[in-house]
Amino acid sequence: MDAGPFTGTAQCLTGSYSNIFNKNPFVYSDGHDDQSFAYVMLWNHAGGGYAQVGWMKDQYSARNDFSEVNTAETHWNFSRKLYPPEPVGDYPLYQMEFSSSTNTFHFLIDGVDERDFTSVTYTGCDAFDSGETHNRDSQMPGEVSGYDNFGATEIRDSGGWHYTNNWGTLTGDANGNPVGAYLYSETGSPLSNLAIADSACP
Amino acid sequence: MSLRFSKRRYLALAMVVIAAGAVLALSIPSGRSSGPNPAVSFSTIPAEKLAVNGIILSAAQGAMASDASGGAAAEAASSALGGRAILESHYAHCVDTQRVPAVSEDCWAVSLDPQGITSNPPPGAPVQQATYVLVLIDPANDSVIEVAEGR
Repeated sequence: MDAGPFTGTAQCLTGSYSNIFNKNPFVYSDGHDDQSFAYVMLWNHAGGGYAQVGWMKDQYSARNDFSEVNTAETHWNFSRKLYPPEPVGDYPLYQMEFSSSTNTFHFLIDGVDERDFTSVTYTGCDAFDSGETHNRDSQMPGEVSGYDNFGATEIRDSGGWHYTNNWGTLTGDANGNPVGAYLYSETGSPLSNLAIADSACP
Repeated sequence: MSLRFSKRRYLALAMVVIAAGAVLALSIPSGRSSGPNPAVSFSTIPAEKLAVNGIILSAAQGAMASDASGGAAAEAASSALGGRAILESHYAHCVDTQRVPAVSEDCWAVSLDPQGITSNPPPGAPVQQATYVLVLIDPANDSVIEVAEGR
């Protein structure tokens, strides 16, 4: 399931951050695509590339923070870096930024810039906060008994950082599961918190 | 007459010595690099994939690490990723220009089996299967410096 892309704002988004709860979900293994992710992302919804930072777990029980980018500079293939995991139960701040002046993506975790990636082809301008997975069981970071939480979420446009006030249209996942397969709640005033869960996961 | 003959002999001898010196100078390494450090390549990871990740692997700048050290490093790399199979490892000078600040140190570079690793694309974009996993290991303590994976 994906929250965003915050297209309700009229301006180009160059930043997105959120305190994302670190969980330790079961990840089903089918030998095909067995990972679970929770992350913030900047992307071009017309297929013009994306960059994201968050936490993930694979079918071998390896939990890590990660950065991932896919642009013309990577020849439209994904490039991912892994970093040491945060403790389960923590709410680290995951932050994506794109600098138009230097054409550089910055991937930050708790305020530390972990990676700089130059992309002269990226033109923006959407943001995404998401928790999802890619396997047959539709496993995802949050389950019905314990949603995964994205807190104090903000986005950045030409006016600076501010609360989203618009989570946009929630969508299904990359495996074709509809949004109805997930549960979510939006809270905060101004709106800044999102909780998500897979309805198939008790 | 004899004096002229001696000069010719001295001249010939000098030319032989100079030529021998030139040959020696060209054949013995000076100990200083006159160009870029030779690249370290993987049979399991194309060089352009490393470049996309900002990673440059070249000949180690310090003393060569032992085979035992390499075995321990490879095991550490596999263990860090849940026991993935080890494909290949090299001791190299490891640079990552995308890291902040940039990585630049001698390390063990270990290639692991990428099976089951996929991209995490936005809706509408195709999921990609990874074709490589590279783990950089600090030879001093077998800790992970970083992991790069992708397609």
